[in-house]
Amino acid sequence: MAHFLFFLLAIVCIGAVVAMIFSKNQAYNALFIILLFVCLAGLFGLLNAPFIAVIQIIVYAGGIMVLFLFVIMMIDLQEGIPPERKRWTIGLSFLIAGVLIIELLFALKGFLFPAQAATAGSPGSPTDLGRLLFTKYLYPFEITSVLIIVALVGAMILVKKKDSD
Amino acid sequence: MVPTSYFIILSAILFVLGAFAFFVKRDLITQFLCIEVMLSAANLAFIAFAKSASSLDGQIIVIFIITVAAAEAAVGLAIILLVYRQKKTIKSEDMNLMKG
Amino acid sequence: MNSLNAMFPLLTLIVGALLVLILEVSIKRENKTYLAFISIIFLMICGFFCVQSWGKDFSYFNNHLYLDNFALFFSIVLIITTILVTLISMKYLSLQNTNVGEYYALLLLALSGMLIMVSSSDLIVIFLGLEVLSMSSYTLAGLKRDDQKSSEAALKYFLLGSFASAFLVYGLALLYGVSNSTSIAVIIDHFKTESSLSFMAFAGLGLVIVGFGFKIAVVPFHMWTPDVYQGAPTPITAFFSIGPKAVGFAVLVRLLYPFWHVAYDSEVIFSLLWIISALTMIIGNLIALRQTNIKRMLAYSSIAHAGYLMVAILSQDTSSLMFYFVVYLFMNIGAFAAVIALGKKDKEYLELDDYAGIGFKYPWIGATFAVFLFSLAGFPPTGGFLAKFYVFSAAVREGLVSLVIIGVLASLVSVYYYLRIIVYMYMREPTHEVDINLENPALFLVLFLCLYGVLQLGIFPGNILLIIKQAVSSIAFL
Repeated sequence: MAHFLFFLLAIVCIGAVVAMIFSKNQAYNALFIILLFVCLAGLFGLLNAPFIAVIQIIVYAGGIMVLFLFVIMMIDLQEGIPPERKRWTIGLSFLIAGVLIIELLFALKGFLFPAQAATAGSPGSPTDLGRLLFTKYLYPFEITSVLIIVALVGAMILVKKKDSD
Repeated sequence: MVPTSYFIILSAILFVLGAFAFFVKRDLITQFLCIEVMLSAANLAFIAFAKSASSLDGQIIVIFIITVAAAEAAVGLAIILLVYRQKKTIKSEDMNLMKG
Repeated sequence: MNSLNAMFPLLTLIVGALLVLILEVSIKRENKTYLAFISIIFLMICGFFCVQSWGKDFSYFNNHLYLDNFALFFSIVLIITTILVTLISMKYLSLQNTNVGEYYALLLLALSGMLIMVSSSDLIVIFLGLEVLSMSSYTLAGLKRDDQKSSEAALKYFLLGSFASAFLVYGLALLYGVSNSTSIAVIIDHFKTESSLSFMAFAGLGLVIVGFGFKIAVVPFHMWTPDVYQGAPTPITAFFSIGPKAVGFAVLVRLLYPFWHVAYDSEVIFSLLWIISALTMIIGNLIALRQTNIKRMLAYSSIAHAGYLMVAILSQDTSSLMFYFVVYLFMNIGAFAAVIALGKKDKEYLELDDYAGIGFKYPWIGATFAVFLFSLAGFPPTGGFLAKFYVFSAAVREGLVSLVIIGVLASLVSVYYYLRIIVYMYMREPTHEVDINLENPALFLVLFLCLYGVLQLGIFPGNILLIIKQAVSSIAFL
């Protein structure tokens, strides 16, 4: 089962990147990368890192990529979606839906088969990660706060309109 | 269980594909996406190594890398928007004001 | 309490940056210069804390924070750089219509990123520090928002910078896979136990070096440098030409010096770096020959200087590397300050033709600029001569004779393009009117300080060499 999941996810991962190389539409590219990130989250799950898998989906696929899509919409390059590509979208949506279902089943595995459910003591549990984050990795953790301030200030100055200050 | 080396090979393939696409693609947003692909490949490698060593350090490092990616996305997209407002294009071959 | 003490320099900078950001909102547009004074006060406090920790060898947070004299020396050099850059920015920003208060805050944050990098022996912390530095650098490069060149510079810096970061991260991942740790000490210890380096270790180390190679702009990872240096606001160019390079080299020293002694296959990495160093010196100087834009020319010159610094890395002579940086700091900031001096409202004079006859029209600026150029070219009695002399003689001691020959030939080539500016300044008739804004006391202070630094280091380098000796003797490679 694990082998099957691995190869399925690996093929979709590589396929998504290759599709991005061949596609010309940025919105599609962003969607392909979301697909890649979701599959990677599945692989993280296979590697006993459930918490990282969740973060991957929430922050990467949900946060960062939405930002990308948002900017792509703002840029609006007036090329539009060529009509012959339309059936592509259908295929793509099926693919994403399929992967999502596998993803969901995988996430629910613990619920469906309680014997394998992750307990608080198992590796990769949020408790352990949190403890490590605030002891051994306290200093880098504090540095990330500086990083976020820089990113905030930087993004704000660059994008705000000249006259508003 | 799936051997760790499989994951490392997959991450290497993703990294190389990402770097390759960075040079092939001609628009800024997709090039930026390629960088995200490369970072994710590194994330996968970190987690695979963490599992084979059964330590959690690799997973913590991935949290940091995701933070960095988020910060990079904020600043990077701001810069791309700034350039787009001035030039009305995001093709990388149009970025040619300076030469020599 | 001691750990708090060790954090003081960093905390000062961050508090300073936040204070500047808060005050920025309530200060009127024409009074933004006050923020520069606030940030200089904080920089001085930070420098004071660094001096105070001298010789104490603080080490906290599992060596994530490691303040030895080597780190403190680089911290102080970087603090001086930032003070000088802040001083030359004050008038420039209002003349070039870029008067944003966040500028000073971002400079402080960039400096804090650099301090994080030099005072750590863990690659993950170094990476995070590098990202703090890079994010603020990308923003600073694009701060002239109505200038298309500036935005383009920010874009190129950002794209290639984060591309390089991705290489660095992947290299880190491989090194982590080899040794199960990101601490430099543990990684090196692991290399010691193996009879030969595995392919993964090689690839990891190589990728990390490529990542840093982008940041210190050595050939063939230098493509972004000329465009970024030309497009960024001039004081920021001065900052880029010193800050990121200094931290990059400091990290390379920490990573590579112990590596030379342990690894059996270090020759491969050594010869790769040898080639990079030679290429950097040759290509940097040759392309600089045909530049007519002064900023672009100084960009190639800074690439060439990175090549000389690589020679110091290869000959494992930390003290000549550090001395080179101190001299380079004064001569390069001085040269950029002179370039900034030739400007007025909404106009900078950056083409070679603009410099015709400057030497007689503005004798003081012309003369000091000439001294900095002589120093960059490596003429005695300036500091530039001694710096090159120390680097090359250390390399000869280590038997790198052919590299030294390439270096000396390359710096002979460089004399041509440095002297060409002087020839233009003193021996050409001005082709068009160049009038500049002379009400700029901070800039002239910087010109004076740099002039003093370059001559002092060239004639009486004794004191600084003593300090460098103390710093070098304390580098514990954990």
